[in-house]
Amino acid sequence: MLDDASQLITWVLVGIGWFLVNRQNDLREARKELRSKITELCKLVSDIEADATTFYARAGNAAEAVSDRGKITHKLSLLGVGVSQITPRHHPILGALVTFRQSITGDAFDEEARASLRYNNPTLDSVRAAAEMLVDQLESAFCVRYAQTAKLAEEYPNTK
Amino acid sequence: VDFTAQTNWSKFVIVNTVIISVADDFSRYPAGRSRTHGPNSGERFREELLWPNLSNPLNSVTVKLDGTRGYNSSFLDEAFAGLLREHPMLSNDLEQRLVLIGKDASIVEEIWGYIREQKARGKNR
Repeated sequence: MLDDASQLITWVLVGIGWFLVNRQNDLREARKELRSKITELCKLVSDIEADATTFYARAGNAAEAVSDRGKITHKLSLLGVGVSQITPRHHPILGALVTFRQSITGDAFDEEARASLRYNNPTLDSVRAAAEMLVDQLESAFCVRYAQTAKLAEEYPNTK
Repeated sequence: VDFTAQTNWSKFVIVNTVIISVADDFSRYPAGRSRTHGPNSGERFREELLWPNLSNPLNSVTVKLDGTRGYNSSFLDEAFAGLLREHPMLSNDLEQRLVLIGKDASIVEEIWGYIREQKARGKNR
């Protein structure tokens, strides 16, 4: 009788252990997947920023402009779908993405005759600022979800 | 109390739902604000597809945004907020009669942002 009970307890403990380990593995995998997705999206943001800077900084011919516009718009669309997959509706990241798209594809984007803009032009500044804001939002969303208070406290010892 | 006197019945009586797929019914490459920017502009989308369907107060319009190569902000502003600029009578019930569907939630959010901004501008005039 006592043997049966101890066997049962052993199996229950094994079951609980398996469940906990499995759950931890799932969480770790989900975290890795999200991390790699965010890294991928941040790289896309930086690609689009570079393309937009090139687009505005050089006065190319009309055919080049059409092709460049198409590439930028397509990459923005991929970024939008990627961000939407990991973000709930009305999340601030979507607002940052809208600002990023507006900074690149506003009215100046459609102009046939493009003058090359200087590096410190307000249009380029706003593209850079919007890109930074979007990357910050993506990174901070990851931190909020997976922040380990102890780790953060180690990293920023003077913050209380 | 006469409730009917203050009721906007178009909010409640929608007879037809028209589905517009931007990619299938307009173009896979929507771009530009006005017709001078090209054949697939926001102005043409608004005047040839959105307005003819929304001008009937009994219609509700569902716009499918997927399938295109992407959107630029000027296209979205002209096509959707432009509706309220050019046809201010829609400002009463556009939000009840327009449905936007797309995988990219930021596009949907951007369009509603333009519509709300334009509505606020119209009220402040």
